[in-house]
Amino acid sequence: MSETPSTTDIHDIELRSSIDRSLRHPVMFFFASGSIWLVLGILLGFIASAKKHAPEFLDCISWIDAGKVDAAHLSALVYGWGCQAAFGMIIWLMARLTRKECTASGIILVAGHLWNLIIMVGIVTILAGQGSGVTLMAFPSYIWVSLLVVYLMITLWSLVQFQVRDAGHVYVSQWYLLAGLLWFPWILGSAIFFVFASEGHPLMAAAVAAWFKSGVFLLFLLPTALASAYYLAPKVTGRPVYSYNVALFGFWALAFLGPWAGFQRLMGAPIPQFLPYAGAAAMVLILIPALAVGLNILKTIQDQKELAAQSPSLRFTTSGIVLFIIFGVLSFGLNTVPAIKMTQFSYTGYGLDILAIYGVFSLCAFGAIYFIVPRVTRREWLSSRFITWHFFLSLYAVASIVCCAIIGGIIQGQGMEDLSQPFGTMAERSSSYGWGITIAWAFLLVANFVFCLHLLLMWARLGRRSSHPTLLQNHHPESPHGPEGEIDNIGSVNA
Amino acid sequence: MSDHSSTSEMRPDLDENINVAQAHEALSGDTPAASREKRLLENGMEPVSLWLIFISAIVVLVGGAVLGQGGNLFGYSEVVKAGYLREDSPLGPGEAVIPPGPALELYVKAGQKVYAAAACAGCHQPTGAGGAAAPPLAGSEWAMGSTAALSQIILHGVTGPITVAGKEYNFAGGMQSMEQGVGGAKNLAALMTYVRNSWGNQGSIVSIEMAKNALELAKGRSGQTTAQELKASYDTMLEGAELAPDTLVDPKTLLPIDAPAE
Amino acid sequence: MDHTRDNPLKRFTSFWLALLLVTTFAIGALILWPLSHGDVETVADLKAVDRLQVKAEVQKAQTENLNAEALAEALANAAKAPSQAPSPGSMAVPSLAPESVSAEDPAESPEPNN
Repeated sequence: MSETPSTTDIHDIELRSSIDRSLRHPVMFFFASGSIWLVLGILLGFIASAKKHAPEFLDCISWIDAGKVDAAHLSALVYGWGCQAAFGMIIWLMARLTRKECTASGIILVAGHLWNLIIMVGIVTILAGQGSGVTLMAFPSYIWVSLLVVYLMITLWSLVQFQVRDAGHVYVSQWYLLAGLLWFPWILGSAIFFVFASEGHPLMAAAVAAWFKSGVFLLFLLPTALASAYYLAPKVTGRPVYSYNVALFGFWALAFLGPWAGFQRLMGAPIPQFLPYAGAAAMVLILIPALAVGLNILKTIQDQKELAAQSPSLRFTTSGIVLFIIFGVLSFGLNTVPAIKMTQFSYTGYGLDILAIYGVFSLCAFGAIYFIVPRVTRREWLSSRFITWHFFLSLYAVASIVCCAIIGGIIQGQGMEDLSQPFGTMAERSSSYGWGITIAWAFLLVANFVFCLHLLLMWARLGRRSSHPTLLQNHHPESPHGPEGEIDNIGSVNA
Repeated sequence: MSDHSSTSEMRPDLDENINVAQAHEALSGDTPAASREKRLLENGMEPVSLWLIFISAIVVLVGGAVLGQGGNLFGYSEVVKAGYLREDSPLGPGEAVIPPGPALELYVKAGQKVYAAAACAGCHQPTGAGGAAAPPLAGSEWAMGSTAALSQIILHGVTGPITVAGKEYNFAGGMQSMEQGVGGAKNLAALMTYVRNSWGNQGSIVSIEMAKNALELAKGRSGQTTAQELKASYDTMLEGAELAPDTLVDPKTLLPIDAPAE
Repeated sequence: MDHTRDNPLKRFTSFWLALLLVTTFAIGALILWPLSHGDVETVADLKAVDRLQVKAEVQKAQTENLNAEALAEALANAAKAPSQAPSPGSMAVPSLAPESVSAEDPAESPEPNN
């Protein structure tokens, strides 16, 4: 089925560039503001992590007390960075895959500003002490419906684009995009209704909040990341996705398992017995779609190791997918009942969350951003060194966080289960892992500060004007694309 | 194919010293990134690898084991402690009322609360043993005897010498009126029943009707009573229908459950 | 009208259908929620009525009786008042109970259970 790639005709190029042009303002806005929220979220994460083992750190400032800064950190990371990066990716990917220009860029841009405004209000209220206290839904209750409305303002157009696409192939990415687009309002709407709007039992609200927390990753951020991976892997390598059947298998496995997960956080709580066990089983089974997707993507790029190393987007995406497999394995191991018993109230859950949000989603999002931004701004990235720093610091930092969190969590759990020792012993023994996490956050802060700077420079149209991309590991002074040149020197370049 | 008349719409955001027309000529130069992109191809049709299926089967087994460790997932009685919830009321399922109980038990329970709330325990002790501030209630003939006298003691207080259980007591200032502290006929009835039936005392139940009559009786005079006055004028039982100890009453109103609502 | 798949009518209908799809669950929940809640009044609810009434009364009385200015004044003055803690050595240590284990020799008393 694989033909020789890279037969681009002028019409395709025109279409691509017109699509990119139509979307440049919303997409760049989402990525740029998302990256600023990422830096803020990581800074708050650094402070939150420090407070866990050194509560006197910055305790003179009352608005970053431990509970508030923790809630603000997660909110900034998920809603400020995660959702906005996802929006940028979704609208661009759907436009490109349906080959339709975006006709609602203005509305999307306005909605993006509104989203930022709402998130800012939300985080300020959290730090002022008026948060709702619900995990990951810490914004005050009146904010949530507006978030849902703004989400619809941003993403309904992608659904319309899908409906009016030219008849033909539906790409794997589009399955994931469609699914994510429809899942998110479902989980957000349900969560708003059952946690804030209705007068139900407070335990049910707690269970629904736990379900939502898991759903935001598994049913929105992850499908977006996978859509981007399924787009970039064949796109950059020029080969078809390895197997349609495996893609189908992986997609439906995720669709079946995703909505059940989340309740395992409440194992032992007085909620209906089957919920935590169903959640634990679903998280154990998440390994299946992880393996399927991993197999598919990695097989797609096999034998193309140099390309994967050179292209920043492919490098980040591949790392994201590998971390997704690792997430699946860890989830498989840590959601068996004895493991939950040990690690339920410890660093471990936090480590898995960060692996999911940063390791899987964010690395895939970075891959997409490194691919999309040059196309949308028609400039190339300024510095491959920045990209390399970003990559390695991110990878090491997230690996440290996950290792420290999981091992530290197990030690915490052991300490808590050992009833002959006082609580202080456990806290002392595991505090070094807390330190490890905090230091890793500091590295992550540096990495993403570099990234944010780089992205903002690109947004300001200060990128390199060149005909060929910024690649990592540029060992050849002669690029395979031909001699370096300015943008008006193109005649010598063949596509 | 490119349309040259759309030059003006194709204003590239390039430097001023770039010749727009020239740049437009090299169309692919306008979008080098887009032009070097490869096309997405149709998906490969490799079959699902057997290894993937095999590993998935193992994972499903483990997941099933996790689910199985939940035991009887929908078994309420296995998870909830016995007696955690009240049983259905004897009036029938779905009628969620606080279950009624025997009159004596409920009156005594209510009276115990009033005893504490009205600060009787402060002087008479929670054990009814009395002490430096009050005579004992346990074994006291005033408690077990005439209900009218007992009610007036509570409602008006006592002063002067008084003989209780063979001993004579005379406290400076005597006992004050506890009418305010007791607060109402129901509480008075409960308190009196409690006093008459605790710490070894054996007495009858004082019903709410009797307590109401007691309150009426108390209106007739003011100031503390004395032992002589009690023996002389109040050595009777209060009027009112007797309440059998095992009548089912509502715990809140202390009225028999088949009594008409008042 | 252009009869390709992409025409304004299709865009219009797709928009509203997508909106409907997204809000379907919300509509369903709004319809079904009152039907499923039931009219069960639990014992906890009955007992809660009294308890909440008492709580409201107590809170009302406490707020009325709270003298905010006096409180603020007292707090401000508390910082200025001299410390009431005794200075070291100024107070006699109370004598140990006779015949208790520690009375003989404090060094021999059993280790405190920390």
